[in-house]
Amino acid sequence: MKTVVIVGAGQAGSELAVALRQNGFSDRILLVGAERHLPYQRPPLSKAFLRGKVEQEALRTRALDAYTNAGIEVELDTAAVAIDRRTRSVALADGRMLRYDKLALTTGGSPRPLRFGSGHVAGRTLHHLDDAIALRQELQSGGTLLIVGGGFIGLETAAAATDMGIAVTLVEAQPRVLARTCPPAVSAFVEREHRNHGVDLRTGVSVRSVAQRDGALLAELSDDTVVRADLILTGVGIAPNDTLAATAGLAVDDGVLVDAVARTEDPDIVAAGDCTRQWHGFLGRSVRLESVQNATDQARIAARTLCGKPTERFAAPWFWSDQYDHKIQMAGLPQTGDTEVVRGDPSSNSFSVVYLRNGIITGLHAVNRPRDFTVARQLVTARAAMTGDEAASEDLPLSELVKRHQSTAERRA
Amino acid sequence: MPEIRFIEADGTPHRVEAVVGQSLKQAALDHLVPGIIGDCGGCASCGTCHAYIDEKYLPLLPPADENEEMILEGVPASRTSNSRLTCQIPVTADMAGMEVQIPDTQF
Ligand SMILES: Cc1cc2nc3c(=O)[nH]c(=O)nc-3n(C[C@H](O)[C@H](O)[C@H](O)COP(=O)(O)OP(=O)(O)OC[C@H]3O[C@@H](n4cnc5c(N)ncnc54)[C@H](O)[C@@H]3O)c2cc1C
Ligand code: FES
Repeated sequence: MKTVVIVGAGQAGSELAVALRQNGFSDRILLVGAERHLPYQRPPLSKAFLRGKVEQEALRTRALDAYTNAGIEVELDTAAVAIDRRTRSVALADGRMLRYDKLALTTGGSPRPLRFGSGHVAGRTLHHLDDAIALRQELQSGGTLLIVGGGFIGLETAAAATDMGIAVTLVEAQPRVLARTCPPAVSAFVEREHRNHGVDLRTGVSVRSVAQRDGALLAELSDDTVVRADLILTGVGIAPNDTLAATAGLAVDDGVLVDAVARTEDPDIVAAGDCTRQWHGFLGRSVRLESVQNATDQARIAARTLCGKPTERFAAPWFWSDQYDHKIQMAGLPQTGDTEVVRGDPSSNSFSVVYLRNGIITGLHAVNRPRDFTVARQLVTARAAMTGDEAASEDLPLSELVKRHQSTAERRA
Repeated sequence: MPEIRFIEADGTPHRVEAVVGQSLKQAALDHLVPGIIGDCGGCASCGTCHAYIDEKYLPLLPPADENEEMILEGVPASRTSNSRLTCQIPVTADMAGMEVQIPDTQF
């Protein structure tokens, strides 16, 4: 009887366990997670869950019965503290040792901590369900919120809190929000919407120091203003949880290093999700991705590798964000140097930005254009040819380009 | 708990005792049915829960809204008149015996 131990019971861990069964592995599977909750989806934590629109049970990736019926042993509230590759065993925080034949690391990431000045008042973060439960409760009782960081989590939280009637100030050190991930047109749209909803949004501004006075927090900003808030939330990105791997002597470089089929350098250990830096089969470059799609897709790949059926990925990565009533969806992973072409009117509520490189579509960011998004995902995956004029032309639906690409591909075949 | 039959693209059937009120997508995930992915968790953003619904049962379902229609337009498997996003369909008692055909790809 062989044993697969999976460390980290999040989106990737849950998917990996299930995918092992789906690929015919019938021996022992042990899924070990540090949190007290069954594997759950994080995206709603800063969206519907924070607003009180969905409850905790609805966040589970799968019901408890799904694991039980599939013979997957789930150990919650149990952190793994060390890996001994020589004896192939994992030490748990409660002192137990688990022997493995194959090990999967799906430990995710942790929010980067931010401390302000000499006062050492740390901002709160929103990463775990327990963070969200606490934050939701506090927001429900009113007050003011200062959010540091204009990335997706900060912005989504600003939208949810504003909808709940909270006065929100959001500061972003870069000249625009979402500077790392989105084109300027999308940043401008998002900034406009937040301001329209009453968020005091300031870009190019950082927090110098925070002091505590009369139960409130006083944040001194780099523009010499002071913001008073009941609560400070920081959203400045995550660091991969790769220490367990590094301590066991596995190669890490801001993420556990894995190849295109989720293998670490140890033939008995795979890794998937936010904790990895991977050679991406579709992109053909090394990347660290933080998304559900990456986590679940890579987890299925890791499971296939463990079952002796390694297959590289072939699809373009994608991501989404919901803010207020707006859907922002992204296909592909554009690089600096790709040409940006805007489709539609960026001052309206519905437009897209297409990315092109050497006449090939490499990505698309859609604002309230689900049709552009899903079609572009196919076009990017197919590495379809497209001119700048075609990308910009509203008269030419992207779906026509899919048809054209398919017929060219058939003619070539 | 109505019994729903999910059928993989290669013909492999899966009988699922679905819970009334949960989505068809969740019923598939909770029973380890391969081929229904559901990455966006059911917020109709990703289209990876696409499936073909038994024609006979279509009239029982809430119609697709505009957003679902647009997502369906871009799904990679062929889109037919009975294509739906399974995350947008709550399971009801009268779905007993319904067949759900899973497409050959979601990416
Ligand atoms: C608020 C929020 C909103 C998000 N919104 C989106 C979105 O809209 N779209 C999107 O695509 N992505 C979104 N993401 C990102 C997405 O949730 C992650 O990319 C995804 O969860 C990664 O899955 P994972 O399994 O790698 O890590 P996780 O889901 O983080 O799971 C890792 C698990 O491993 C556990 N663990 C760590 N170390 C150990 C150890 N030593 N022993 C045992 N257990 C351990 C952790 O406690 C955790 O439970 C969001 C994330 C957050 C926090
Ligand atoms: S789960 Fe994403 S669209 Fe249904």
